[in-house]
Parts: sequence; structure tokens; C-alpha cells
Amino acid sequence: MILLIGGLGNVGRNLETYFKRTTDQEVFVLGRKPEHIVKKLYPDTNYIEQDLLNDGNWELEKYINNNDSNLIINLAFSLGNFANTVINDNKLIMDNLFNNAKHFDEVVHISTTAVGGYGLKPSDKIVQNYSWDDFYTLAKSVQENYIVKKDVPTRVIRIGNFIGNDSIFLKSLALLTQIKIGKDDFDFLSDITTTYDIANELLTASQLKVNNLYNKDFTTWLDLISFTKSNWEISSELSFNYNEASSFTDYKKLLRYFTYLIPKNSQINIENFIKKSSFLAGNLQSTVSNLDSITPIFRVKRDIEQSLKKSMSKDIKDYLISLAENANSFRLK
Amino acid sequence: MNLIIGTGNVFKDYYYPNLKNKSNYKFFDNNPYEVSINFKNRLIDKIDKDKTYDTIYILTPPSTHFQLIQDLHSIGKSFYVEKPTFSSLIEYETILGEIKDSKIAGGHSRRFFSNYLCFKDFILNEMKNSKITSISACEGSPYNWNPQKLESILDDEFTHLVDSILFVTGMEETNLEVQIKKINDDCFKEISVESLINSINVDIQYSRTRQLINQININFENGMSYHLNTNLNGEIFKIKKNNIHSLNNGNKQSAIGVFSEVIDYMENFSINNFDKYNLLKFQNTLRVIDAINEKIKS
Repeated sequence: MILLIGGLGNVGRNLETYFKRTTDQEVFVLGRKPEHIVKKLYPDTNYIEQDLLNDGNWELEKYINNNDSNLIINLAFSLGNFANTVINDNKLIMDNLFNNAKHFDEVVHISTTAVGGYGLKPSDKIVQNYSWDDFYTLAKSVQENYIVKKDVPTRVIRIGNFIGNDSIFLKSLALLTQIKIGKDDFDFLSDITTTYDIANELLTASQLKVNNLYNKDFTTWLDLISFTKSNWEISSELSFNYNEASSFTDYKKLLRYFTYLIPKNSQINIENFIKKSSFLAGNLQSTVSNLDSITPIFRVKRDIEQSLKKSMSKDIKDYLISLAENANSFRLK
Repeated sequence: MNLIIGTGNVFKDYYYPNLKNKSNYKFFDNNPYEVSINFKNRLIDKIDKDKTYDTIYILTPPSTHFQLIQDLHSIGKSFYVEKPTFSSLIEYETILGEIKDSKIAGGHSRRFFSNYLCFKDFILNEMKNSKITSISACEGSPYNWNPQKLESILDDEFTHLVDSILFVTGMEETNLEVQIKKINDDCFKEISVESLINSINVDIQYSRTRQLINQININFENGMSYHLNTNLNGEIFKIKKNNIHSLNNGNKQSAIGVFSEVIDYMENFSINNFDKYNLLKFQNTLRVIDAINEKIKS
């Protein structure tokens, strides 16, 4: 059996579909969303409702039989608006997970190549420092730090810029496919990871303790956009000035550190106070544009480090073609 | 004095924090044991039918709205009914036939979003120059609420989208001809509808499991198109000859701020002369939802 812990997110949904299609294994998804809702939204999913912050006995033995070959994958993490809650909750998730899963086969931990910070070349070692680039990298770095500190015997697979059905980077690519782009713009590494890459790695008995899983062909975003412009039905040449999106500045890093100091019992009151104040809400809240979805590409930008560029593989081309229909969900005009 | 019926999450998160003078409100809930200690002192255990209330807010599950107003219309000068207002147009018309002096405002809070009001101005202005040829609306993201009972999309989020389209084009109060051409209905997961409303092609899609683009697009015969990001602080842009022009970056309005305006509006309901929100006109939204339901049944 395959168990996707925290599998209701975007990566989990894509993996569940892929495993069901390509293996004869029974696939289970474990998450905190109430079962009565999941049953209606995803009626074909074998679902286990479990709050990962609950430190009790999850009774996983009901689903996992040690005599069979099992693949247990941890995709779960917890986000929030306050750093100390993010840190504590992610430590607790790891604690609860490994306490409950220690009698079973190894849990493969899914992390991110951005765990050391966006735009940097990922290290081959598990990170020990927290990353403050956003609460997602903080959550994932807390989890890796836990693995080092507690010496948990687990494989870590780090995924790069995930492209799959409904993913953030698919949306970015779909938007850029509709926009006129400069011939020298977007000539930086795409570092994409596909559903196929992750599934393939999970089903392989790799000896690597940490595997940074992203496209090693040095494919750039420019390569991807050029390909999708020629092959996706959504392709267009709308004029839009994306210079503002390209110069991303993180103004909130200090604020993120600051939230570490706010005690848990004051957090709800502070949130409500901000929501009620039009001045504070106005200043802390951003306006929303569909074209904002281009920004993540610049946020994770990593320059080409060497000129060993290969041409885009047929696998990637086929994969992109398979996503053409999903890209239509992001049609601007 | 005003009365609020239903003290669930919507009340707790949006209405209660905006009540400036709480002594002007009484609250009623069928499950008083689940009511927060914060407002327990204003809770009444029985609705006294000898009293009269300026506004009765109905914040209970949609299936209860019709019966509640039928029971209470003699004691409320006006009603504010959370969306989805009624299960069908017939329900609403039955109520209208029964009540004499009360008024019913449909609680379509998106009409208070300042970017929607701004978008409406752009659309009505462009309509002076050209005709609308087509409208498409798309919204979707993984479902994040935690209700005790999950309503079908058609009885919940879809009414927002339908009402928004009618409101920003001024069709909330015109005669409406609706023809549903095609429907792909998964009830809880995703719905897409192709329709013809007043000879305009209107396509609407809503998903609870997928990310979609969250946008209302309105295309004109002169080639101009207007686009509203349907989020609270969403941007408005125009596409003219393939050039995207930002018209409004999105107003900084908070969700709680919107409901403060709703409360202000209802507190001054009887003296409002000019009503840009037009909350009394929501029957066309019911008319479209009825047409979709009929198509599903057939």
C-alpha cells in the first residue's frame, strides 16, 4: 500500500492520481480535513481523517500491514501567520508522525530544494538552520532540522518548482504562455520537478539520504515558455509590463522574525485587531492580480551556473503537452 | 432594536465584530449551548412575537430562510437574508405575496466590495459605447471551510458568481431571459454552465478542488474587454488590441470592513434614498439558479 500523509495538497493530489493509474497498490491519503467533506470532494479517495497535531495514537496499524511492502510518504506541514506557531506545529507534526510510524516501514520525507533559501543552489545535506524566506520554507526547514536533531532514519526527497495539474508553477507558465516576452528574459534555470520525477524516485530504492530532485538538463524558463507557446492552445501574445513582478523585494522578512515573539495566547486577538483596523489591514494586506502569479518564477530565480545546457528532454516535452488542457484553467482573455 | 438569528461562524467572524452598539441587538440561536460566552448575555431563548424589530438578520442555513421569514414577517420591518437567499424564486415570490410592509434585502455581500462597484462603473460606462457580446466567470480553489454540512456549489458559492455578474452589468433589475445551454454538474466538486442571458453568452465555472483564475471577463462588440479579479482586493484591467491596461490595482478593503458597511447600510436602511447596492433586487439571481436546477432535472 501507499500512504500519502498530508496528501490533500497539490503534490499529494497529483501523486495519488499517478499512483492509482500506474501501480496496482492501494493508495490511502491521510489528512486533517473532516472526512464528511473529503468524501464529497474526492469520493474516490481512500481517506483517513487524522489531525497531525494530535499526539495520541493514530492507530495506523488499521491500514498498514508490515507483512506487505508499504510506501509511507510525508507531505504534511503546517503554516500560519506567526513564526513560533509554525515552528512549534511543525516540530509537533514530526514528533507525532514518527512516534506513530516507528513500528512500520521507513517514512520518506518530502521537502523542498528551497529549504536553504530561494535562489540558492541546494545543499546535499539536511539543513540545520531555519529559513525565513517565507513560512513555507520555515516549516520545511524546521522539519529537516528535526530529522537531524532526532537522528530520524528517513530518506529526504526535496522537490524543486513543482509542475503538475493545478500547481502554482503551472499557473505561472500558463500566464507567461499568453504574454509577449522579451527574447532574453526568463533565461534562467527552471529547476522544475514533475509528478513523474517524484513518483519514480519514491518507487526506486535509492541509497541517497538527501536527493534534490529537479530537472538536471539546465532547462530554463525561456525554454519552457517557448515550447508551451508553440504547443499549448492557450498561447497568445498579450502585451503586459512584467518588470514590477521581476524585481521582487521581500519587505516582510523582519515582520516574520518579529512574529516569533508574539505569545500564542495573544495571536487570535492580534489577528482580530488587525482585521478590524482598516488602516492596519490595508497596509498589511496586498491587492490581488491574476498576473501576480508570474512572481513566484522570479522569487525562485536561480542563474545558470555553467554552460552545459542540454536540449529539453522528450519526457519533459510530453509532460508539458499532457498539461495543456489544465493550463486552459488560467486563460486570461 | 434589531434581531440576529443564527450565531454560527459567519456571525462570529464578520457580523458580531462590527456591531458598534451591541445594546441595539438581540441574538437567537437554536443551539444556545454552542454560543460563545462573549455574547451569551444578549441571547434570547424565545422570539417574542409581540415585539417589533427594525431589522431581522437571517444568518441560519439556507434551507431555513423561507420558513423563518414566513414565521417572523409580522415582527420585522426589514429582513437581511444571507446568501443563498431562498431555494427558489417561487419561495421568494410566496414570501413577497404574504408580507405587507416588510422589506427583504438579499445578503449578497460582494456588492459591497469596492472593486466590484468600481468595475460596475467601468462596465456601465462602456455599455454606452458598445454592446456586451459575452461574459465568462471562473473561480476555484481547494475548499477551505469547515461547515457541519457541505452545501452543493449551486446552493452556495455559485450564487455569489451569478449575482456578481448580474450586478456589475446592471442586470440585477432588468427583465431577464435565461436559457441554459449546457451544464456539467458535479454538485460538490465543480460546476460549469454555458448559458444565454438576455442574448449574451454567459459561461460560468466554479471548482472546489482546482485552482482556477478567479476572474469575471466581460467582452464588448467593439473589441474591448474588461477583467475583474474576483478577490476582495482584486485588480481590474482592460484589454484593448491585445494590450493589458491596469485600471485599478485593487482597493485595500478588509473582509471585516465589508461587513461593517453591510451593518451601517442596514442600520440606515429605511432612510437610504440612493442605494448603490440595490439589495432589494436579487430575484434575477434566483431566476438563473432556478433555470440551472431545471436543466439539471431535465
